[in-house]
Amino acid sequence: MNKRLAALLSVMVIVGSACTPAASEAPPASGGATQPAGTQAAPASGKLVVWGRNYTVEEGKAQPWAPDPKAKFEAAHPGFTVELSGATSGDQFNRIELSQAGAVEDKPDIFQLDNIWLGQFVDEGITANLDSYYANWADKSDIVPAYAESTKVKGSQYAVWFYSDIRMMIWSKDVFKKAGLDPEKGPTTWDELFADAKAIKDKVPGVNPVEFPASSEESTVDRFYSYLYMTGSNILNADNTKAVFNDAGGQKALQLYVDLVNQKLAPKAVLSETADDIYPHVFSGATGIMLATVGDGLGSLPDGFDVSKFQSTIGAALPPLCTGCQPATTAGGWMLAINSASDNKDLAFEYISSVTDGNNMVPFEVERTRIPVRTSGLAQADAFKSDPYFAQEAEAAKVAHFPPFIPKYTAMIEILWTGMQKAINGDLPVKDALDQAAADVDTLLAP
Amino acid sequence: MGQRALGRATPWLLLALPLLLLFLFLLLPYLLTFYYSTTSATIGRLLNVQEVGLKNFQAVLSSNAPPFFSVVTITAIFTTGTLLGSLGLGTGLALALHSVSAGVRSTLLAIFLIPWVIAAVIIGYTWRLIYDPAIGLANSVLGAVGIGPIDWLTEQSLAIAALIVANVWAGYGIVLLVVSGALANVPPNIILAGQVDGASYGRIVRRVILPAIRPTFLLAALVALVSGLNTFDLIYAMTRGGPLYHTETMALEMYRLAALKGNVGQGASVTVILFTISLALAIAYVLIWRREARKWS
Repeated sequence: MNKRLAALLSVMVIVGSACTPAASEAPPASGGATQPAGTQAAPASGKLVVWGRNYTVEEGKAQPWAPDPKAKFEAAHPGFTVELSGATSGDQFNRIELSQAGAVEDKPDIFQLDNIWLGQFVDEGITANLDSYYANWADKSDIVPAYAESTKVKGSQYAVWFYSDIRMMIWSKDVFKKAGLDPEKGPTTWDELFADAKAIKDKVPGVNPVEFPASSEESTVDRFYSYLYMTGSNILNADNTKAVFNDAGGQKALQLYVDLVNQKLAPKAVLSETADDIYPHVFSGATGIMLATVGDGLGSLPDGFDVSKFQSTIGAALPPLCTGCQPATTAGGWMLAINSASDNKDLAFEYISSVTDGNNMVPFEVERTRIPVRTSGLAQADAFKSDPYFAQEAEAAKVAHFPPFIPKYTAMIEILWTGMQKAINGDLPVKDALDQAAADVDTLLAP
Repeated sequence: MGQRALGRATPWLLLALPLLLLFLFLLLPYLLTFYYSTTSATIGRLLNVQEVGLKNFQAVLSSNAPPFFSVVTITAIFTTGTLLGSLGLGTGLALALHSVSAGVRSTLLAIFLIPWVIAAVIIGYTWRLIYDPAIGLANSVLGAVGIGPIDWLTEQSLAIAALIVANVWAGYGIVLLVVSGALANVPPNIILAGQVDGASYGRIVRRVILPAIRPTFLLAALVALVSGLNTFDLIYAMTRGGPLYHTETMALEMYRLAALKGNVGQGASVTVILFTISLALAIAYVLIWRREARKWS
């Protein structure tokens, strides 16, 4: 009997080790958006709890939160202290979600969020409606126009932009030189892109003329959007209920990818490559042109690359344009939001306003090579002179677009990248692949 | 009387904490997974969920993105490849080590076990770099002899084979360890008897050594089998199940549905199916092991 029990327990442990529980814990959704936060009677003393990213609170480095904004806030509100803490991206997401479920001791008054989380947090009722604050906020006119509307969900403001990153095309100057091309001038149109790629293919054997990520992960769609936006297309319709990426513009953008692969100007291996895989290819001269990468300047420099080596090795510019298209790129970045459960919303907005001020942000953005989201920040080109491509990034920021902030975003992009892969792999024509993906997205988004 | 009662209760008191931890972190998650597989639970709503019966299983089994049959087939190929590769490499190395002196053997054994103690995610990213079509080691080596470049992780059959190689490298260590232990217990006189009878080394291995370590060999096979079935992190790091779901195993599908799509109900239903398959394999192992044990006793 004992042997049988031992055998049963052994089986349970062995089988158990084979199966990961699908989910262990997550907070319940409270559902629904919150009502606009009005002015409220704040307690006379207490603490303003701020949850930021780890590198924004790093000791010995420029911090956007302190010392000035923190000191100013605490002087204006005696008895109140600002309590800062930082977390990695994944931990930040989890602790915000868990705070909603009461699974962590503290709740933040202010939290930093990736722009792609906004739709989910609004849907779950975590973020406070900021319409009433925006209505009287003098600094709102300082936000770069391309960014100003992107903190809105269903017509209401739920966050304040903090800082950004921009998608840029990059190229290897060494490869351009070997191909007899001007290393200081990347392609500005799709025609030039094909011409440059053919020159690389003919004159620099063993080098991939062009690469773009097309594997089963987010960078595939994130780097594709710029080419979609420039055609006038979009991902979803205005109220985010239906896919529109399968329109003529979307097809034109995906056809670019397919043509590059079919003409052997880009390897089919892009189907298994992420943006992070391709980036070192360009730096090592194994690839001539990467259609889009995160252009946060020096922030992504590989080991061994200083500013001068970066500038002499890599060129960067806005993604090349198709005939009749408008300059466009994709932006990502971080925002600040106020917890809908905060008792200190007025104070929180006051502190956010002080922290995100263009002049306050610049030292942090220079040190961390982030892109300002305030016109006053972008105007300070001198401060950013250590970033050789700041001028191009500032130009790109003016034509930035954003992915839709919807709760089902991660499920939606899986459908989109699978459709893109079908076209690139030659399984379906571009139109059929996008139509099929659009139908699946419509089903996903249906109430 | 009191002392006797205390004496009887002592084992249970000592076991209370481990049993509680076992319940909280092993049994309870299993039970919750079974429960969630019959509900409409999502990542944002795990409480007050609606009962949906077997609809999640129906949705998973009838899915076209990717078809469940395809996922099961890929899982079966990957698991079989891992099993055969791990057994072959682990046993081969164990036999090779068995033929060298004890001092050399322990040094080499420690070296050969290194991959087994490295985290699977690190192994995954390392092999991803090795397979990089532009700057990877694999194509650099092949390029030196005029072959390639090869898109290792793009075409389905090649991608699955590449994943199997990486997983065998990551997991042969446990087979090597178990089989090495068993070989140490094979009586040298039966090997000597074979040699005296003029049998070749291959024949001695086939007819003498392997039968002698059969029960241990079965255990190593089960561990390698479950390891193949269970592999998530290495595949996630290398291909994320793509492109076009060409390398998506059940473990990957479980994660994709529950964590990426937020559909905890469907993710849990894949977990239950995987659990059932693992349970069947484990029961088969126990039955075979008991039969073997009877033979030997």
